[in-house]
This record gives sequence, C-alpha cells and structure tokens, in this order.
Amino acid sequence: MTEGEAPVKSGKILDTTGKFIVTGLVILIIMLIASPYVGLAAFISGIAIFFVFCGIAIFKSGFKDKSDGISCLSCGKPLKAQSKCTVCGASQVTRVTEVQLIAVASILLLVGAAYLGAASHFSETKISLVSELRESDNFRQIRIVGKVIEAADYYPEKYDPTGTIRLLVNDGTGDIYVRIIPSVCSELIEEKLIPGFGDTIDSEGALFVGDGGYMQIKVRDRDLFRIIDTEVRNVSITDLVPAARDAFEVGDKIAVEGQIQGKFEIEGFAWILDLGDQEGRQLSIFIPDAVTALTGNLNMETLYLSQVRVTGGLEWYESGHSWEIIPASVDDIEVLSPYVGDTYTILTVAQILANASAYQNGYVQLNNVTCAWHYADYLFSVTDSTTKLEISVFVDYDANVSTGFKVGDRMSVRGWVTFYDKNNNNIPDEGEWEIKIRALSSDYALTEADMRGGA
Amino acid sequence: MDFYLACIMWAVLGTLVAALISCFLPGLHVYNVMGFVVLLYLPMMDVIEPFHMLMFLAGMVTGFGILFTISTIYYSAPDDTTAFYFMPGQKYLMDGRGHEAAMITGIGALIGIFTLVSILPFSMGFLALLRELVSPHTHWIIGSILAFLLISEWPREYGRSKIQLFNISKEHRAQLDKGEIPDVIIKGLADRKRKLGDAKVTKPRSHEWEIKDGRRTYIVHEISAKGAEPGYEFMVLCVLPGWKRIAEAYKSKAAGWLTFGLASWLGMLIFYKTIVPVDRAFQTLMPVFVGLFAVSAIILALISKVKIPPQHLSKSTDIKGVRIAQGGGSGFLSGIFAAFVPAVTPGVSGALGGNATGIRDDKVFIMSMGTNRVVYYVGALALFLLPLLHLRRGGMAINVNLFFVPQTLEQYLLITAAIAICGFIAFIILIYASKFVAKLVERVTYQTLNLFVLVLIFSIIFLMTGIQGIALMLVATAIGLVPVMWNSRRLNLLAVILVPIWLNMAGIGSDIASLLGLV
Repeated sequence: MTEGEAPVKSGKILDTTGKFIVTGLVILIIMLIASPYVGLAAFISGIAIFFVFCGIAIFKSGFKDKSDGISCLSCGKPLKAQSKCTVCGASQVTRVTEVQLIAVASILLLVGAAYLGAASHFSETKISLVSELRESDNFRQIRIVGKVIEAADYYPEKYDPTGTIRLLVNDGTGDIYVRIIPSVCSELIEEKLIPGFGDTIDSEGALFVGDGGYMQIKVRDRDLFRIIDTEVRNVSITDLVPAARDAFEVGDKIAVEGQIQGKFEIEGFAWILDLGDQEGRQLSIFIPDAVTALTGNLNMETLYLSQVRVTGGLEWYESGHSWEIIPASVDDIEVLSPYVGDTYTILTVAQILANASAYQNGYVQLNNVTCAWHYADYLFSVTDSTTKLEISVFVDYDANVSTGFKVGDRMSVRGWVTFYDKNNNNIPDEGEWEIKIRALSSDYALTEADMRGGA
Repeated sequence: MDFYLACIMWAVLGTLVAALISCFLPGLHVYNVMGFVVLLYLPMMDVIEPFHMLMFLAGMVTGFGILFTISTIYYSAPDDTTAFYFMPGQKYLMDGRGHEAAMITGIGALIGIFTLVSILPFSMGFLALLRELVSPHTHWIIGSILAFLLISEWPREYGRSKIQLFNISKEHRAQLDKGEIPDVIIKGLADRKRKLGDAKVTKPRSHEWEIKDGRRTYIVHEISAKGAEPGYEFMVLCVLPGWKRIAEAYKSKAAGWLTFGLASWLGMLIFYKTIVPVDRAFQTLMPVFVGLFAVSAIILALISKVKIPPQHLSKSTDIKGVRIAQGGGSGFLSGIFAAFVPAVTPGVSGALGGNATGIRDDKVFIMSMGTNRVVYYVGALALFLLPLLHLRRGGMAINVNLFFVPQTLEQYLLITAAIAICGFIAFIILIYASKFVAKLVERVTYQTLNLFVLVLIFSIIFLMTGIQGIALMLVATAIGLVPVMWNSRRLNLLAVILVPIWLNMAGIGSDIASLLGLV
C-alpha cells in the first residue's frame, strides 16, 4: 500500500456463516470417513447435517455481501461510485455470493449419492471363462466360478494369526490360481469357512498374468469370495476301496463313515489317516498341513480308533491306484463314537497261524510268548511253545510297548490281526500275517518285567 | 454398500491430502505426487484394494484440480496448466483480489465438475465413435496445433512501431488537453529510466496526445471505453525509430520461437535419454515441468521485488451469468479436447479454446482455465474408466495402469460419485483455504515466501530425482526464463511434450533423435 492510500477493508477468514459451513463440512468429512465402519446411516446423516448447518448459516445475518457504499466488495478499497469500483473495476451490483456458490456446489453431493445408488445396480461382475483370459486382461477385475482341484496351499504370516491361501481352480475350461490375501483369510478363518479340495468357489479379484501362461486372481474382499453349497454324497468304504479311477469324479464331495485305524505324519507336509471298516478295507484321509494350520490341530487322542464320519473331496492317488479323501477342515472329521477299548481273544501262536484268516481284523491276546526275531522295538516276531512258527508284530508310533528288549525275552502281546500285503495286491501267499499294536488303544507288547509294573 | 462407502472414504482422504499439498507444498505437480503415491502403494497391494487406491487418486486429482489455484495465485508456483492464467492471477493478487481470483477459478472448476458428471456418462457411445474417427489423424492434429503455436506468436508491439510502456487513468485527460504533462507520466517514464527533457504535448488525433522531447516521441492513447479497464483507460506508448521498430516488433516472436526450439530439444532429450536415476525414471517430467513453469515464475517474482498488498477477503465475486457461461463453455470444450487428444495439455487447449470462443477478458480467461484444468485432469480419469472408451491418456493412465485396469460400468459410476462428492468438498475447502493463505501471505514478504517455495521445490526435486534431477530442472528453468524475460508466450514451453509425441506419432521420432545424436 502506497503512502496516503486508503486502507483496504480486508474481511474475516471465518465469519458466522463461514463458521457454520466449515463446521458442517468437518462433520460431513468425518461422517464420510467413518461410514465404512459405521454404515450407510453415517453417510446419509453426514449429508443431512451439512445441509442443516448450511440452512442455519443462511438464516443467520451477515451472509449477504451487499455494498456499504464505502468500500469495494472486491478489493476493499474506498468506493467513489456506487455501482462500479474505480480502482479495480468490479461491479458492486451484479455479484455471485459465497452462499450461492455453496448452494450450487451442494447439488454435487446429491449427484454423488445418486451415482452411488446407480452403481449398486451394476454391481454384478460377469463370470469369465479361464480359457478366454489373455495377457491383455492383466489387472482386470475377473470373476471365476470353478472347482478347487488341488489341496489348498497356505502361507502363514510371521506375526499374525493369518496368512495367504492359494487354490488351484478349474472352471471346466482351464486352470487358474486364486489367491486370498491375509485380511480376507483371517475373516474366513474366523467364520470357519475354509475352501477345500473339491469345493466349488465363486471368487472375484484382479487378474495377474505371469510367464508361461500362469494366471492368478487375487481376492481382496471377503464379499467377493463364496463357497457354493455342493451336495455331499454318502458313500461307504466298500464302494470306494475297490473302485477304479472312472468310478468316481475327482473332486466329488463325499461323506464316508469308518474307524480311524492308522495314522501317519509326514512332518511339514501332511497327516495321513487310515479310515477302515471291520472287514479290513482301508481308505486314506489326506490332511495337508495347510488344513491343520487353517482349521486347528488334529486331536489324535480322540480321533484314533474312533468311529468317524469324514467329509471331503475325492482325489485319485495315482501311485497307490486308490481313492483318498481330502477334507477342507479338521472339523470335517466328525467323531460318531469314541474308542472305548476292545475285547481280545486269548490264543496261542499256533492257533492264530492255523486259521489266521478267521481272526483277520479281530483282536487277540498272546500270553507268555518269546521274542524270536528283533529288527527294532517296532518290528519283531514272537513265538511260543505251541509252534516253531513265528508271527510278526508291528507297533504303531507311540503305542504301549516295552523298549530295549531282545530275542529270547518273554512278553505278552495283544493287538489287531491283519495281513501285511507285501505287494499290495491282497494275495495272502505273498504277504504275511501280523499283529498290529495300535497307539492310543488297549493294545500292548510288554516284557514280563514291564507287565509286573502294570500294563 | 460397505465397499462403496470405503471407496468414498478413500476418495475423501485423497482430496484432503491434495488440499494439504496445495496449501503447504506448492510447486508439486499432481502427476508427480501421484507417481510417488503409487510407488509407495505397490508393495502394499495386498493390504489396500487397488480400486480403493484408484479412488484415493481420484479424490486427489479432483482436489488438485480445484485447489492448485492457491499455489499458483499466492505462491507464484504454477504448473504446466496454471502457468497461463498466472499473470492475470498475479494482477488480481496485486489488486488485493487474490481470493477473488481463486474463487473465479473455483467457479470454473465447479462448472467443470458439473459438466463431467452430467455429460460424460451419457456420451459413451459418441466418444467411442469420436475416438475411432480421431485416432488415425492424431499426428496431423498435433502438427496443426504446433503450427498454430508458432504462427500465432505474432509481433507484440502496438502498431509495430510503438511499444507500450504503462497505463494511466482517464483522470489526467484535462491536464493533457491543457498541454500539461501529468506527473504520473513523468514518474512512470523515470521509473523506466527515461527522462523527459523539454517536452511538448500536442493532440494530432482525436484519441491520442503526443509528447515530444526532441529525442523521443511518446503517445498517450485513449483505449475505447468498451475495452478499457477502469483506472487504466490511457496507454502510454513510445514511438521507436527506424530499425529498432523491427527489432522490437520481432523480439518477442524470436524469443517465442527460441523457446519453442529449446523446449522441443529438451523434450527429445528426456524422451530418448534417461537423465534421472533409472529407478526414478517415471518422475523424469517432474524436474522439467517444475523448472519450466514453477521455478522460472518464482525467479521472476524474486527479482521483481514486488510486495503483496493487503488482500481483501470478499464474500462475493464480481462475475455475471453470461461470463460464467462463456468461460465455462470455453473451458469445457478446451479441457475435453486436451483430455481426448494426446500430448495436448490445458495450456495449449486453453489458447485454442480462447481463440475459438473469442475470450479477451481476464476474468473469463481465468475461469475458463479453471474449468479447462479440472476437465483435463479429472476428465482424463473419467475417460479412462468410461466403458466402451477406456481412454489411456497422460500420467494418470500410466500410474494407474501399474495396478489397475478399468472395465465395468459400476467402477465408472463409483468414480463419478467420488468426483462429484470430492469436487464439492474441494470447492468448500478452496473458499476457506484461499482466505487462510491470503492472510498467511500477507504476513511474510513476497520474496521470503518465494524463497521458501524455491527451497522447498529444490528439496523435493533432489529427494525424488537426485542431483541429476536438479541439473535437469536448472536447464528447464533457463528455458522457462526465456519467455518471462522477453515477453513471449509461455505456451511455447509445452513443445517439451508436444514435439516428441508428435514426431513419434508421425513415425519419425527416432530418426530425429538420431539426427540430434540422442540414440
């Protein structure tokens, strides 16, 4: 300002009108930011509160910017003419006020809300076919409906009780990986809704196309992942054990009842349980570590030897030429009746071997037998005074058995009679009969010294 | 619906970030900020949904589109789009009407948002057809624009033989009629180191007075009442002798063409050589644009020694409905043209639009640039998501394509909703942020403020692009100073992107680069 020039009437940053409008705006912004957590009501109330504040601002005095005839409305310098400032040339009559502008701008809020509503009418993403996806579709939002054709992979987070699930899905036209990010995975874990082998899933996410035709969609929203209810077929072990490859469809969801007769853990990979019936037919239940990591540990003390119902997807085990079941969750192994102990028939070695097939899958007890051959504490043979023949004893891990005994030691054995098929072809001559000492059961193989201590 | 609400939440956050940057970190270009945000985002793709990040960027672009005017008007740190209303904006600031200038831009921006949300959703088919028609012809369209830029850099000086020195008000008419030289003319000439000796005043024509002092002749020319700004009705001119006339007349044209040539060379250099560190190659344009537009403007502000007068925080704006329609219409047409045609930015399209619609008034020009800028930035995003079109244009598409591909109508409608809501919020913020910054800049001297902004810009460029970026920015600054010093159009600076893109589209880019020894 040069010397002698009249002072500029500067105005306030926030007058009464401004205070109301800024307060309304702050509340609106807070409500909009909070709305994903609070709900649609916050969004609508935010807009409503803003309009209420605007209304109050309008009815408060001082919102109108009328010329006082002393200073210019635009530059604040003294006015010499009533209608036009001689310094800046601004009209003092035809002007657009802040409040008018805010009122016009507010229409945008309503337009925005209307577009949000319109968007919800077009929210369904079209289902894509894997065979039609191309590299040019990279990063597109893709929706796939297909069957999980491999056991799920799970990559746990280091510090959080969640991780990433990766599924291989086939939609009938091709395979694609579906990756579920940790935040969604944690919701699925909480809801106990873990996708498993054979499940049909409906998932949506951005597509990533990699080298060699690798395709993956990444699911980032819980609402964009769904396991479609599939009919579970009840089948028996009898139906499955002799069944050939073409008798069932890989991935069929089935439920089978039987007894958990064997258990085997491949550390860092999976548990394999033997589900058997009283006729000695056995079916493998393959439980990858991903399943236990996602759904909890297997309670072997409860499960082993119990009568259970297992629900899962059917997988053809190529090396064993047999079907196996892959459950999605440890909860899919439901205990029907817990193991309460077995009734043993007291026999001699000669009696068993004379008519072994009659005792197959039965429970026998041999008293005062002698260890005739000892490979290890879990594999040896016994004989007694009734015969020169021997019968093998195979001991489960953790079974009730003495340790450090040697050939010639006297012992008592009770367990489950089974036929060990060397070539896995069920021909008795090519295998041998054995007594299996099962863990977590009333079976045992104890030396005399240990027997005195109590079986 | 939770997903939609989360989308809006991210968009609003983006607008708030844009507001903070526009008010407190002047000189940053929206696409550079966006590049930086995307760089931070990519490792977090599992945590934040890509569409939410897109909404954040949409909110940020909308916020920048509306609020960047604060940086331009108060901190004299324009970008490539605001540099063209920088001078009229500065005129308003020096009149104590900085806030009014910000509001005029804001009104323009508001019109831009309204047109985008109300017209684009219903023009999918038309725009898709238009793209099919225009695509094969892009190279010659850009070529024609370049030709227009060069041809329209006409000699500046009044009548080719007179140069304009300054303006005075009509109050001095009586003195001139009496044959007296008003003090304001003597002082004005003295400020320009021209001393009047024994001078006489004559009136050879009805609307002109001549002041002759033996060596030079000065003319006081009365501007027609229709075209005169109040208080500036008389123009004081100096008549030039002989060859000086030609030199003066073509000085600005030569400077314009020189600017065009240098900017083209710089453009080819950055398109064919990676000057900045390779891992920051996506930020190559940042030091160039900051140097060309912001730093050169700040240097001008520093050497001009101007003082910001007290700002009047008006509660109303001097603008009429007809002017709003004219500015908004022109701005929308030029903005959508810039958003649609590759390499064309709002500066160029604004000049084309201004010529096409006959804009002469500063007020209408400022407003049209406000609309133009918003339609260009926000429109580029909307056109990118518009079903049937998915037009990939500029820094927006490059950054967004790193993590997202648009496809559905739902996505487009959500973005449109976010644009509308964030446009509204940004406009209200503009009203009060402009008032706040107007008061802020009053308290510090203009030079201190510009020095602060300059240090800030240097720091940001160094952090983002290293010492090579600083070197590139200095080269760009030197080129950016040419039009500032020789009074030619800054529009020629946009040859930095227009020329390389045009040459590439014409299929001769690499040949020219090899001729220049760049490949």
